[in-house]
Amino acid sequence: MEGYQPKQGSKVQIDNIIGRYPKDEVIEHMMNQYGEKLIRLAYTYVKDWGKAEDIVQEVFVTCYTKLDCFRGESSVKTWIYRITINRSHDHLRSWSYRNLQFTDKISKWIKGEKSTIELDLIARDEKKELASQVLTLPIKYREVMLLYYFEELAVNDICLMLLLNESTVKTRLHRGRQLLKEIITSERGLDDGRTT
Amino acid sequence: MEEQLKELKQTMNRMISEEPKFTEEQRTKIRQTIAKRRKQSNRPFSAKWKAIASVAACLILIIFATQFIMSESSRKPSSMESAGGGGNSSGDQNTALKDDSSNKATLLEKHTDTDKSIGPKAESNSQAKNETFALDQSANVIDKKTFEGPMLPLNDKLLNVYETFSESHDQGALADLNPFEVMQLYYHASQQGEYGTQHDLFIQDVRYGTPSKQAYLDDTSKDSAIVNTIERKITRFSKIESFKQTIYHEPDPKWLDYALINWGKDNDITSFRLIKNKDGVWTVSWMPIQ
Repeated sequence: MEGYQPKQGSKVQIDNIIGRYPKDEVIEHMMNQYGEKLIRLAYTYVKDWGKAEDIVQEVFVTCYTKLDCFRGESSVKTWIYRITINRSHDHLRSWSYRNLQFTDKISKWIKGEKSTIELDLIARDEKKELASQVLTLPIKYREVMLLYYFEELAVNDICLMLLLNESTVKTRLHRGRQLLKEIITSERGLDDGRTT
Repeated sequence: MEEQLKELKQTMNRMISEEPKFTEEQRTKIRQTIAKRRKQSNRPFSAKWKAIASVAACLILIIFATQFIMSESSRKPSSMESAGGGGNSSGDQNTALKDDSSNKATLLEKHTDTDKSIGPKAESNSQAKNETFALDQSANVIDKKTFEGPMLPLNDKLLNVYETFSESHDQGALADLNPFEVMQLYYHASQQGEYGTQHDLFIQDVRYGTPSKQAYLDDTSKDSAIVNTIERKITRFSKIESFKQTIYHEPDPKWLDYALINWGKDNDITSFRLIKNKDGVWTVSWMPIQ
């Protein structure tokens, strides 16, 4: 494995090579095509690059061990995204993450700092402001918003990845947009109040 | 806002990081982890030997523990027997001295010695001794024997005794019989439906509650359930392989020595009681299985 050199820049249809190519080579193609996307997707959940890297590493190792079980019922993309989302959810549910969040909040409250991870990403313009506000949404709205707008996936694909009904996904998208509007309006109201 | 959301991909990518985050270092880590996993899966036994060994050790421990518990539980009743076994050896000597009352006294002395020999153990657990009637009983054991089944049919010797007895109605005809043989006669009489003869086998002593022959015959003839029960018992006896006969000395001089014939296993042990009458003949106790 260490001596293996991947075919750089290959645009192979991974769905077609599973079972025909060696597993190592399939994983290399997967890393080429999805590595960057997955690490960014994981980051939108956990908001920590170190954790996002760990999650993605775990995802590829899982893909390697479970590749023989992949029956092609969904596309490789759906499969690998679903694994990433599940691992991210696991992390968010973990005790260590909750403990970290809690101690973060406590330490910031003691220090009297206003900045949060989200606030570190404060945008200079409206687009960036909107993007930063998406990251503050509750996870169930944030993930559908990001999969739809950031990953540019179709509603059907999101349904497969999150194992949700189409109507649920649509409802969450609608509710996510509403929440965003409310947050932005209230933020702007506050800003206007400060300037006047 | 919808327009801005449509550009979320570019905005978000720029915002969270403008540099690629999935680096070569990441890839190398993943390759190394996969290589480790592959090595482990290529050596399934060596990778899992600890788990297998611990499961095997647990299983062995469980098996040993189960065997120990089973052996302990089976030892409990046998330890009771062994307490009586001390009396058994003296009881064997005693059998030879059956008709000699002075020898009987010797036996009782020996028996007391046996009690003393088990005394320290019993003293160390005196409370248990007081509470355990069975242990008290075993202390009075003067003989123990095991008879192989089946109990019926009777052999020629016993058939002759039975015929003599059924004609004479004299319990003296039973003088040479041991308690087990008397029990055989009792059930043979049941099998033959000769309830008069069966009644003659009971201890003829009002203190033991034996009813008159007429009352007994009336009850037996009226109650067909009794007959059915006895028949069922006799059928069951044909399957029993061994009967344990234990003869006890009755310490209270007002009462007579007695014997118990036991059969069955574990919690399903049946006892048949016989009483040695004043003439030294074994007779059946009234309601022997009670």
